[in-house]
Amino acid sequence: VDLEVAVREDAGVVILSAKGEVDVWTADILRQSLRDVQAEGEPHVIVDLTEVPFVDSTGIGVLVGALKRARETGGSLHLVVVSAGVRKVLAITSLDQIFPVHESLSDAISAAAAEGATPDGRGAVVTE
Amino acid sequence: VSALDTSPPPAPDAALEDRVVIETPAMPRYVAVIRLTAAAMTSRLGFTLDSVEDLKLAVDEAVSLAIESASPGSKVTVSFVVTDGALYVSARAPAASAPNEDSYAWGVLVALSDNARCRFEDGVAEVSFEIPPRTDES
Repeated sequence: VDLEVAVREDAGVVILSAKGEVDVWTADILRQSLRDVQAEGEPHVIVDLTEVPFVDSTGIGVLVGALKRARETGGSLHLVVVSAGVRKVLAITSLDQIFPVHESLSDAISAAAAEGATPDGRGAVVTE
Repeated sequence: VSALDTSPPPAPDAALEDRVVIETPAMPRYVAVIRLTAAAMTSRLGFTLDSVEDLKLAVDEAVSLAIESASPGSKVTVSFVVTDGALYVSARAPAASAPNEDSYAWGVLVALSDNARCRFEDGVAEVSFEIPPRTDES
């Protein structure tokens, strides 16, 4: 398997941890995992790409689709990105302006949990 | 070889030497094979790590575009030619339509390369691009 996606929950936030390369062949695995999680009504989702050194435009398309679905239900989609290459493709497509992108999973959990705690959308104080 | 022939062996033909062609089924599962081959090849040719990573992504996008419009059951032919430090890449496949220039893939390819082109002629779709020679100033 070229890409593995594990799903777990932490602090009330669903985390999809991907491992491997996301391209036109493997993107379906990520797409299906995101759809399954969002179909279960999970509004706040983190996609952890810490162990993903490569994402191409097909993978970007999958993430954009998931972000649209999240926003339709008042949810959010956070990314954890470590790879310089993955950051670059997000920058090229200007999606680093649209996605909350975090450098560590703990940062992403804090941000997503804060959103989850404020369904009225008024924000919350996060203690780092 | 004549016993009197003491001249050095002929210089290798650069066009022959630095040309690599890969042909695979025009199916998404083979895109990884092609981009990893491209990365291995350009590492051997002295490209820097950053430029190899860029090239890997550019090749991935070009081949994905060609495969997307390829006819079912066809093959994609990807050629890599190095001339004076510049790399020219072409991905061709029999197709019923032109590669989609209204796509993230095309946007990424244009951002990463020079002279990115999509063509559709005589039932063949081709996506090509160049990576310019690295200059010490950059």
